[in-house]
Amino acid sequence: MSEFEPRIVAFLCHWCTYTGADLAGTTRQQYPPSIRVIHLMCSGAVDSIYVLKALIDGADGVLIGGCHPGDCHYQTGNYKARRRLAILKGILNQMGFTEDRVLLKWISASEGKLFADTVTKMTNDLKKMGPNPMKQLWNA
Amino acid sequence: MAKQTVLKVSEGRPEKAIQGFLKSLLEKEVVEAILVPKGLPSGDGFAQTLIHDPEKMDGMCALSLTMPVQSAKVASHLSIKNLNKKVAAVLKACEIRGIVELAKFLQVKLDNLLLIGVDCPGTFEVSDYSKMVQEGKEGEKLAGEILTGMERGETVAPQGYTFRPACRMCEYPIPKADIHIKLFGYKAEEEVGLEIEEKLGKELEEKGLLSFSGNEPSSRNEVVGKVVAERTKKRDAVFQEFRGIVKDLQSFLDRFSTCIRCHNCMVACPICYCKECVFKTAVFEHEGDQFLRWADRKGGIRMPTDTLIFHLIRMSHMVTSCIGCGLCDSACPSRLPVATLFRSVGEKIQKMFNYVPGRDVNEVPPVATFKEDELKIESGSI
Amino acid sequence: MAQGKMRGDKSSALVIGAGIAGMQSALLLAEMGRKVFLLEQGPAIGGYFPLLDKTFPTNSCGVCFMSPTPPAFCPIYECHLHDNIELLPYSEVKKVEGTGGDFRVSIVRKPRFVDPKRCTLCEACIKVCPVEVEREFGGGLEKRKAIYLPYPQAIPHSLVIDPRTCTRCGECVKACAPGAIDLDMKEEEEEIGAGAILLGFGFEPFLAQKKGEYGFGRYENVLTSVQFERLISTSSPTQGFPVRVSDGKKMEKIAFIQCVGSRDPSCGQDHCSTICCMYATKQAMIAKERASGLNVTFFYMDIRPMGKDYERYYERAKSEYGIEYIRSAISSVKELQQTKNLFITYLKEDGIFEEREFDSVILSVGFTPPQNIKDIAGGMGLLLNQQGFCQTDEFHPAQTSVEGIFVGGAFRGPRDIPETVVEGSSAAAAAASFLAPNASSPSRKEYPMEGALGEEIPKIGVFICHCGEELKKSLSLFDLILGTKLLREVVHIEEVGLACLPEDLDLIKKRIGEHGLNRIVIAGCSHREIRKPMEEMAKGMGFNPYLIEYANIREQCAFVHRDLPELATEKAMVLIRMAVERARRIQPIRKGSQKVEKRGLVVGGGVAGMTASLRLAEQGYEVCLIEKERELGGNLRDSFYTLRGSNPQSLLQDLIQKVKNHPSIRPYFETEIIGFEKRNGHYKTKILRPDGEESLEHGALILATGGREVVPKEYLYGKDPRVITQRQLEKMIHLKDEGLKEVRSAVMIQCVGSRDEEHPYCSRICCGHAVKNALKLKEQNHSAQVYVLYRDVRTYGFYETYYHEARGKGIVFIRYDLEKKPEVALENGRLSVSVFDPAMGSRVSLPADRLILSAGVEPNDNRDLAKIFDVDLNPDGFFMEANPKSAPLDSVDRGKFFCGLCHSPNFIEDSISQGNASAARAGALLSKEAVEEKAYLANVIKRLCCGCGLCVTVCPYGARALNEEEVKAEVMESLCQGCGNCVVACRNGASQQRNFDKALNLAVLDAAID
Repeated sequence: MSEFEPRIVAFLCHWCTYTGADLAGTTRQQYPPSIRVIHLMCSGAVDSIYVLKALIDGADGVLIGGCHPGDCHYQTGNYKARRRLAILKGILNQMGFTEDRVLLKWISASEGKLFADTVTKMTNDLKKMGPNPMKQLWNA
Repeated sequence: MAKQTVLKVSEGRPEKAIQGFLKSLLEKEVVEAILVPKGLPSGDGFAQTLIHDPEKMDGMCALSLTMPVQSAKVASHLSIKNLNKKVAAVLKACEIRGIVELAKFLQVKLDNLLLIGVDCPGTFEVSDYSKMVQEGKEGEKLAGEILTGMERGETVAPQGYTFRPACRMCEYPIPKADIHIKLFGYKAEEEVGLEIEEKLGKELEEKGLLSFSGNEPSSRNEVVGKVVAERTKKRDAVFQEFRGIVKDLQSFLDRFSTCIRCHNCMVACPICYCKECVFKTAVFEHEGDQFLRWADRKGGIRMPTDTLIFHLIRMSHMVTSCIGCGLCDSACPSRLPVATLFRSVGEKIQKMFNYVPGRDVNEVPPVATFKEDELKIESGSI
Repeated sequence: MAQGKMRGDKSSALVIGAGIAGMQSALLLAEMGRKVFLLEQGPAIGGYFPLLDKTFPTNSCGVCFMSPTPPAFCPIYECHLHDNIELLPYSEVKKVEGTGGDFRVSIVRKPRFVDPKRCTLCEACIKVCPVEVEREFGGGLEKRKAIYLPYPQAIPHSLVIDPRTCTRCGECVKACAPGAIDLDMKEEEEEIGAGAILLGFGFEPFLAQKKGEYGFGRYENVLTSVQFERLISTSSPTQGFPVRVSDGKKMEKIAFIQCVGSRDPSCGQDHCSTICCMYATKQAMIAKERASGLNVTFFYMDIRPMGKDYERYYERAKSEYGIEYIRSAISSVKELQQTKNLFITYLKEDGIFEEREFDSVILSVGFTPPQNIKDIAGGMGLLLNQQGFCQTDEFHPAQTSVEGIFVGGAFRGPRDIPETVVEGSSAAAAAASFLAPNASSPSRKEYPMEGALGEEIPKIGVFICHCGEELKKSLSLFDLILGTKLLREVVHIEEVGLACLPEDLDLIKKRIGEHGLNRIVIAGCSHREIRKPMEEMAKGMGFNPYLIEYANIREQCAFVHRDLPELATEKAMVLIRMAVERARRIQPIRKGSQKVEKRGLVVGGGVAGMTASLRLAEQGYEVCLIEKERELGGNLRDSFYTLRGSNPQSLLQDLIQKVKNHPSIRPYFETEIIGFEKRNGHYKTKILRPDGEESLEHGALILATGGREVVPKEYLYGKDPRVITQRQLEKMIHLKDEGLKEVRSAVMIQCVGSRDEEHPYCSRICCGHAVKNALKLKEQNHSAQVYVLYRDVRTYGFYETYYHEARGKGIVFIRYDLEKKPEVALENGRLSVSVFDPAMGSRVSLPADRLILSAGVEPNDNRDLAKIFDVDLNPDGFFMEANPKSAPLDSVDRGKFFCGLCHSPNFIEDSISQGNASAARAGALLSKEAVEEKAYLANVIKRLCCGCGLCVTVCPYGARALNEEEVKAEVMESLCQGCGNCVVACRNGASQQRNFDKALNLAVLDAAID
């Protein structure tokens, strides 16, 4: 059997992290092809529904990328995202998703390497965690 | 400072004394109408009733032993659009806490609402109470026994009956209200306590409604402390048990697998204020072959879909504001432990933001604000 | 040599130097509708900015807020995107002819040897290039090839060949698949016509080699601050982790030596470089954040954090970060042979020598004028000051000695980013005023009408671009085409070679017609690269540009999974599927617009307010100037001379005359603000005049409500008439008060009502005022002895020379600590001041015939105004800007600006710059006939809305309001920036966003999961 290849769904903000991900490409940083990027305008526009739906539908991990504190192009969207995710994590925890399958990361437009490193590390961590148990369980 | 007094009870019937007091609020035009639980003609239940005519006050029960609907929702309907005259509402502590939460989301306007809170011994499931009455247990007599128990701080229902699970673990039996009818620690056959917000107290005094005298019984603090302590203990035990049973994804799903997606929990919830739930909107209308693709991806899918995510999303919306009234539990045909889940998760998340739902109308709900310097995340990750 | 015909005319502007000031000037003039040529001598624009990762005092980047139309990308990219800006990178000015209003500028465009249009950044050439040299970017710590990208995000986004090091071996030419390299490219000469020229030459870092005693160039572990800045940038090879140059080991104990090439006449640098204290403190903080346990020690003379919120920053560096500051003079730096550690011997304030060992030493190098500036200035007839920076008149800070040539930023002297942004804006305002009378705006491009925007069944065309064969290296295009065929509503699939080039764009255009395509998916490079040509093509044929989707299979797939072709192809397929899913659901967007109320409201008629009013009026807008007093002037009325020797009273008269005589300015006296309403697209302010109320509609608001001298609460002020403030002294000197002639000994105490608990900020101007008045006092009364008791002398920039002069004239400066404040005693009718002198190590008692308190600056009480106008105040009561770094004068809400003392303590010169700058920012808004709305606006489905107000709470722009009648939320389209935060705040999807609605995002998510 081939090795488990995690699937990560990423929600990246338009201004910082998406641009950072582009920079990773321009500078040819190599990282695993585990990630599927959804482009949104702001990390503050990531609805908990998206994250939960991704997990329920079998994504092994979810990455939310936003501007560093103080750098949000919409002033404060990243702070709101952080709070929303904190609440969501409390719920996921009770649900039995005890591992960290959801990651919020501040990655600026100039941090291509950080983006690549983040994806690499997350992929490796997810490999250790194994596949999202949702895939085998209740097909909600 | 709130003002203290007592209502003298005659013939050992405290409800009569309370009725008299409420009646005078209408007669002296302190309020235009009063929302109050009233016994059903059949005698096997109660219904919230908006009373305008003081003469119709007979039969009302400040201490209704069931909570068929959460009055926070009623208060919302009553006040959200142009309530220009003063209305009082007789409420349980959890209903007032619900109102406070809804007020933060602009779903209740408190300007013309006079909140009358009653100490709460707990409530029965509607069906249980009806059965009790049919089994020959007279409502008023049961209420009498409960009132006697409240003097001592009894937390168990008399004669082997049980209060709703949510009530048994409710650590907020004492309401914060404009007028507070106090029962714990009082000998209800003789008197019930009354605590009135200062300005209003002055108004009532001037209108000759009552005079302020007497202090609360010295034992009250202790009695209330005992009730809160016992219920808190119960709550913690329930949490522990729940967290023991629902410990991983598998057990979580098992516990919720009998959900039939009737959305009753949402309808009963006082905090779920949306006119139409997102799960009934176009956002969750899927294309036909989408279902097929899902079935293809997973080998098979449970229909109807979006059951699990419904609970989780509802939780992400409401959990910081959950006041633990437990009506979702009462409403669930599959007897899912929705309330326990919400409270158990809620406890942790509310603590994270040092937030107590229903505590103070001026507190900003965690979902409506943020701090720049909080939830420190190491090099960017939570 | 090729010779083109002249481009540009009297209405256009040429900005020379594309650093922060130049970019700011260019962006603002372009927003005002001017054609702007932005010339840069280097191969990429941006100046020093790309070197900076984090900036003080926020320790974030934040430079993206610089664009006049936020939210925006970083200004480098915005300059590249702007329709009215034409970049002239890698170019130099050869000759300037003509006069102000009608310049003809000959420029030379140096050959890049690489065609930016064809270069796909595949970097095959870099691999084969045999030449390796030091990379200039970041001070030479890294290497580059002879063909290179100046830095990763460089604009133009293309490689360049450095002719000085290229050996012309031709390997790169062979390696380049798209044929972008031409080693025979020649320089081209061109003539640019412009009505105004703006200079943003910037500065150059002091050459640390000149201070040989610090060992730079000889000792490996002695770095300049430029190099250290690069080292701690997250984009550095160590991702910002500070390591020693000699052995790559973690830095553990480092020293900063301040004033290297500053305040040092011995190396021809007598000025203070103003920002080194702050940038070094920032570097120290960031380094400590990156490497825990790092010890940092500063060796300094005076610490000078004078800007807004800088004092707090410095305090934080000491208390929170534990950075050590030692007031001292460096005696020597020696390298230890084995460890290559550095041994510093220094002389402390009390005259004692001490020694310490460090593993690295950072030299905080100062600012020098740009190289060859004398030649350039000579060619333009530009006067430079003594230090070699641009000479400007104190009260016309943006005006050079040549009419029609304007200046801002570090070319005027060392300054930080906020000031540079202000001055870049100020220069733009001055240029706009200058250009106004005889210049017309360039005509806007006309596009054909789009078809009807009805809902139609999607017919999607997918074009997969292999980027000049580059993507074929890691992706199987065959598989992608096969897979795409299976996707719903895709009616056409085609492979293209370079979708960004006209050939392929024409082909796509043709296919749209042939197949009746109404949605386009481009699978290829990032939308950031290709959006501009695609949208241009679409608009040109009447195709709604919002119906184009992009699948990023280059930067985010092929380039980053080079060795995994199968998995990369699989991923690319998912990315295409997601883009197609989006394309199926997006709707055309036709942006609305809101009419602009072409009127400015300026509150406060002091120097900043009057300046702002004049600049706005000169640009052709009506201005209502509201003053609460009976007359104009504000604090300027009490100012009689400046340190640089100008006469503020003549400035006052000049400004008042101009304001009163300008037909477009309506001054209101004794008028109060009593109400303010935000409308969709403009504001309505209610004022109360002595004769009644009035409502004014306006499109921009400038708050210039001023400040005042703090009333001292100590040192017997108000109890003894001999104790006065600097301001009172200034007036006495001006009136030649007889009393001053008797003075034998005057004592000045600095920081009265500054840098203390009540006013925890530096008032910036008091040190300058003290020096000014001390010198004047001496001038009028030679025998007077003047003592200045200070905590740090903060005569920044060129003011340093006056401090030098004052000391030379015998004025005695004695330092004191906050813990050992001076004590004032009254004995037998005589005043005396006792203070601990750290140099003597004992207390000294100074007789004081006059005691002059350098009282700080505080803002007027703006709490009510802030509430009315819905703007924020900082903890000190000054107005709070959207971003302290790059939008220093803007409020978060569009169209509200601050300037003058209500923003921060400032000299007159800076207040004028701020007045100009706020007028430029406001002018950029008012210049438009209509404000174009953003594309991805939020909207409300009324049926679902419960009126809970969460969307109103989360909207950062005040673009949401609750309709109390209906109990429903509403969107003010002109203010909505399309962030989507309100969409998430709303629980049931009553709040949605165009082309980002929840159902759409969920569908894309579904397509993302395989």
